[in-house]
Amino acid sequence: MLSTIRYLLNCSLAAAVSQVGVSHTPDRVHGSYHWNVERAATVAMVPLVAAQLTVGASPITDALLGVVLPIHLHIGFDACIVDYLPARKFAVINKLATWTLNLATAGVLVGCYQFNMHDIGITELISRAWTA
Amino acid sequence: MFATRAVTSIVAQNAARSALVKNAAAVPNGVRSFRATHANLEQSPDAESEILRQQRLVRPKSPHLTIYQPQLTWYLSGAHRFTGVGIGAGFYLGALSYLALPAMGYNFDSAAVISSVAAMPAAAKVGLKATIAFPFVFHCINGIRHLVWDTGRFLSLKGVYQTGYAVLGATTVGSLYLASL
Repeated sequence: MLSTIRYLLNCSLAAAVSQVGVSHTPDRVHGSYHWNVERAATVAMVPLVAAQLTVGASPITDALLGVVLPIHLHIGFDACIVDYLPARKFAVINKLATWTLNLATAGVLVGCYQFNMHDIGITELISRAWTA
Repeated sequence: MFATRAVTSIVAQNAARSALVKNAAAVPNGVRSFRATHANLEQSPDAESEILRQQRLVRPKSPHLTIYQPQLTWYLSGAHRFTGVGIGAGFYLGALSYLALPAMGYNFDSAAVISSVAAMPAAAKVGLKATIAFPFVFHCINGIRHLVWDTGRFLSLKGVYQTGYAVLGATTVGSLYLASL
């Protein structure tokens, strides 16, 4: 029965060639996009914070900051969860922490958007509260 | 074989005084002072696993962070993570409070925050600002140090220490300036 199937497979078009023993050349950048995203967020923080400290409040700075800052914090917190609550050792707590973090980051993104839209904005809040 | 006997007899002598051995009373004496005699070594597989399991319960953990020589490298690395988590947690709490507190009946908008900060005594204000400025500035400047490393520069021991001291100096200056505002 099996030999019949194998015979039929071998008789069919070239596309049905057995993939046993074929090794794929590994993609050099596999698994590295995470690192790229992390560095991109960090690099974006530098001019944003510099603009905050020099130019002061601006709707563009606040809008960008309200997106980049939560991403940066999320990646940082996620690194802590991966380091201190590894899934290998803490199956349940790891999942709980990861999803709590996801929820919290979503909330922070919404909060930053609301604050930038309906209140004075992140930079203005910091500068006013700092010199109050 | 002789080393095992020496070690186990030392463990047996020190077991009463050893603070490292937890659950000292709960575990039978044969576990902490296992004498590797011929008879003991001829245990059944089940009995062996059981002794191993009980030994793992009382086996002390080696110290690591408490005994490693203080060095700028890992101190700054730990400080980078610590300050990041601290400032980040504060930001997350603030942003989430902005969403949640009004729903719970508290007034929490920018005017409320600014007025409550303005109402604090001057010394408390300076103290609070210094407490926030130092970790924030340190994390920012050390973050730039990390980005510099990512370009492949200053990745020698000398480079790490040079940049490390530069970060500490810049942090002091920066945080003093910010706290004075």
